Amino acid sequence: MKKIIYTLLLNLICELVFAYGQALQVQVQDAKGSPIRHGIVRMGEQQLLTVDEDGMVQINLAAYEASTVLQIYAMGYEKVEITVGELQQNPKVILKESLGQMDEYVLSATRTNRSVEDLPMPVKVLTTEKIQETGAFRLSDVLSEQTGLQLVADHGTGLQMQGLDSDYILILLDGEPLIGRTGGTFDLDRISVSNIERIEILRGPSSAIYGSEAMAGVVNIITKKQEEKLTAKVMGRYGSFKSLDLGGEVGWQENGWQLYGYYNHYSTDGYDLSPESLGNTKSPYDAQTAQLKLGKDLGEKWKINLSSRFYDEKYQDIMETTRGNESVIADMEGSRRDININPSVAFKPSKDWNFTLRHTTTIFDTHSSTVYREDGAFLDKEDFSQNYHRTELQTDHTLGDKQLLTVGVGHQIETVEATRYDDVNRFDASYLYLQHQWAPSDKWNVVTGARGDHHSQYGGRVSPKISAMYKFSDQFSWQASIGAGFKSPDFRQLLLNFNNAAVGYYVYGANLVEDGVARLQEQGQVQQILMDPSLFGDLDAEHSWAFNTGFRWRVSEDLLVRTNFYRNQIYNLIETAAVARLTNSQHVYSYLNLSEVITQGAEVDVNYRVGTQWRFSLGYAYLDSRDQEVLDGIENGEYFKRNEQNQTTRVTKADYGGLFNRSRHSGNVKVNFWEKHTGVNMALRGIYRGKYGFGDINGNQILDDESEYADGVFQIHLTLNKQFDNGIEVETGVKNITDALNQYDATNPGRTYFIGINTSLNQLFK
Amino acid sequence: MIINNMKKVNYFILAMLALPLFTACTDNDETEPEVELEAVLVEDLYAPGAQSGGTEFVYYSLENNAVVDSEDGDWDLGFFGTTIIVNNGVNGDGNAEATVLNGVIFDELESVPTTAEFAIDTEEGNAIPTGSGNGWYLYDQPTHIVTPLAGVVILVKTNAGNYAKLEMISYYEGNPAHEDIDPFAGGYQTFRYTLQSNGTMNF
Repeated sequence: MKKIIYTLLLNLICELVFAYGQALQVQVQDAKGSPIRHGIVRMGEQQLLTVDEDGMVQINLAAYEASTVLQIYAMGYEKVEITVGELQQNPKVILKESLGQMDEYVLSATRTNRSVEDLPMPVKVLTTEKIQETGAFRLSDVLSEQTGLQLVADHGTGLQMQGLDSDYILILLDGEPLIGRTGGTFDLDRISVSNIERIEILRGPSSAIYGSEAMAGVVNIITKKQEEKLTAKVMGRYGSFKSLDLGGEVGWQENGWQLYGYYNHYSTDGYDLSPESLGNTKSPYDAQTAQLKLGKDLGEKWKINLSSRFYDEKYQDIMETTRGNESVIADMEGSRRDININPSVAFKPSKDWNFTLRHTTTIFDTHSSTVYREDGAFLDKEDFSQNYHRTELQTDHTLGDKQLLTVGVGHQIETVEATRYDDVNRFDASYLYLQHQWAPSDKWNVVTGARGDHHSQYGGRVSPKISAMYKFSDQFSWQASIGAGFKSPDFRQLLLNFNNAAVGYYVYGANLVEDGVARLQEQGQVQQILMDPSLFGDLDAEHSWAFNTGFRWRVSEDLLVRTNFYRNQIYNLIETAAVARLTNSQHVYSYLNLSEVITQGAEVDVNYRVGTQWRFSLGYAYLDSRDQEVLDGIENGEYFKRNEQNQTTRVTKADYGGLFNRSRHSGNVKVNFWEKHTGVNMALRGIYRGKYGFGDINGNQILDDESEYADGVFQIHLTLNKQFDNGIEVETGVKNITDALNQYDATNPGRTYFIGINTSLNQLFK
Repeated sequence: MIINNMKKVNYFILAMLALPLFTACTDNDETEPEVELEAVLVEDLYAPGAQSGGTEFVYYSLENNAVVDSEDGDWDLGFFGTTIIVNNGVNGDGNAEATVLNGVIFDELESVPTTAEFAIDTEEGNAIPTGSGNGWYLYDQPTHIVTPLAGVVILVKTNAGNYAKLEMISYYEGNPAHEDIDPFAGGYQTFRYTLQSNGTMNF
């Protein structure tokens, strides 16, 4: 737990007054010669000094012997020890960036601040620099370059982690859940990146603290926090498809007040990967994001925070459709709005106790309409509105210096009102979570937790998790965790009442299908019942057991190897099934707990540093996925395909390629170079996504044929960046230099260019 | 914005659940000698649908393995694009019937299952249902390719009252591999069938 020291130190700092005398000005810098702000200098047990905004710290030499050892810390850098005597010779301290961001602090893994190095679970942190080097406009651009993460276009740009879809990944913004999914997908393009400070990526189930959705893992987006007195920054970026991103932020901090405001406007023309058909692959849209954070320290024990975020998006596109027997054009337009408000109060009566009461309210709305161009008649019009309220109280209590106990209790209310739902529907859930963090010795580190959820729809659910790490040495540690995950059936799966009038099919939520089919039968629309509708209803939560294990090996000061091996076993997976065939040859669909799915794999990351100028990293992910029901079906000879003569044969186990959209192999190679004389940073990245099944071609619904695979794609990206001393930063880059395309990947538009400039006004006009 | 979902609607055909429980060949203690029946292969029977410029059904007699010139003749099945009709009900004056079996392999099917429900064409629908995934084929919207469903065998009771099993093989000329298909040149029906002309249900 030694890395907690930094946080503790920060908390303990009080105003330190130094007698004037032989003060020595010491400059704290990074390897590139830029000042490091807000570092800490520690002398002996008691004395602490802070490094100022310019990276300077004053040391009173009269008070120390030349042999006194000083320790210098800064977030994201490796600690340096230096004697006063050495500083007198050369008053400059250079801190090396922490290799692999191992010194970064992570909030999402335990809901308490812990350094990556101390966490017994696979966590990765992306710093501002790492985010910036991707040349990203939206969050999807950043995540697509990370080992083991893939983007999947399905009603938006969704994330895939450990072979599990977006439905099973919890997305947090400053620790609070973001809601609003379409077809289960959380669209990463809703998130602008220009004020993101860090992204925490936690793999493996975290339902033990977060409950539903955190089955594959958690992505926590941490936006900027005001630490300096007065800051102002403007950001601009322009790229292919007329993508324009403009933003600004201001922050102020004084007398225990913190205020931070951010605004971003993004617009793009979208792109089209199949120009032969009308409409775009990615529709043109423009989006606005605003964020306001307000904080106030009330004495030393109380702290009040209020953060809010507002998002508004509008899109338009056209499509070709049939009306009667004619092919006609229809115009589509829509909007999406997301408002989050999070007030919280923290109370710290003593150094051993910490109470946090927090609330979150989110309103998520979408509206869409499609009209025939010829006469303006509606083809489709839909509204969707989801509200989410959650209040929880978390108590953290330290027991000695080796144990930290966390207890949380909360209640959430969720309502949905939509064109596709009959009434205003409401779900209620209460929960309790417990977590015990324990370092029984210097070598062991154990985190145990459990969470109980009680839900108005499907009853109770208990999700335990235990994680442990053993440090063989300072260089080598091994970790393992076993945990349960779950995902509640969502509104759509329970309550959808949808009729696609244009095509003529129906989709009912499990609660409604029995009545729905009966009604269609009365109307004489049903030709054949395929499954007994009374088998539906009473959906259970999907749940999983997962095992994660791996090591972190610091081979040398400049070489770090991290691995994680995992297996997720998911039960009661909810799938769509055809209930009945209609007289118009279309079907009625509903949802039921059906499959048992397994995803397992290995992920390896290697970071290597050569001198101050070069950094290399290598990532590789292996993924194996399968649907147990399909395998059983193959064993029973229930799956068929056609051979080269187009005659029917049985599918064999060797034919089966697992779940669709999963690449068995993927990886990345990254090279960072800092050119000393010009100060230009170069980031060259190669991102590989191996072949994967894109869909069923031969009609048996499973991945079993060569024609069902999309080829692997290797994309090369280059970003150049330079920071000037006056606070101006410019960057430019090319994404997908070789224009490597795959017609099945709607998230890859081919080669694009961008150019950007950020200006820190407080530095520029200082 | 919307990213067009390139995945097809992920519907689920319950082919595996609809696996018919066909009985094994009954003990054969009849005196009649076993005759090994041969499957007949019909290649590139051109019967284009409306999209390919077709205007009328092509009538076929399984008994005679030949095209029948007129609707009034002795035919069993009629082809028009992906639609197959039987000579009965709303589509003919004959006595033909048909049913579609799922989850079976043509060569392994040794008799007409006792559970098979033969039907005729009615106003509500054909004995061999039309529409992608319903009868004998799958239509892929993005590529416009028609692929016969694997594991599907059509059982026909001919106009003369004999039983036949039939497998659709291809909808394109020369029975090409999937990657060589020209989706706009369909209507070339290739199928094979085995006719039991002695009136029994065994193939």
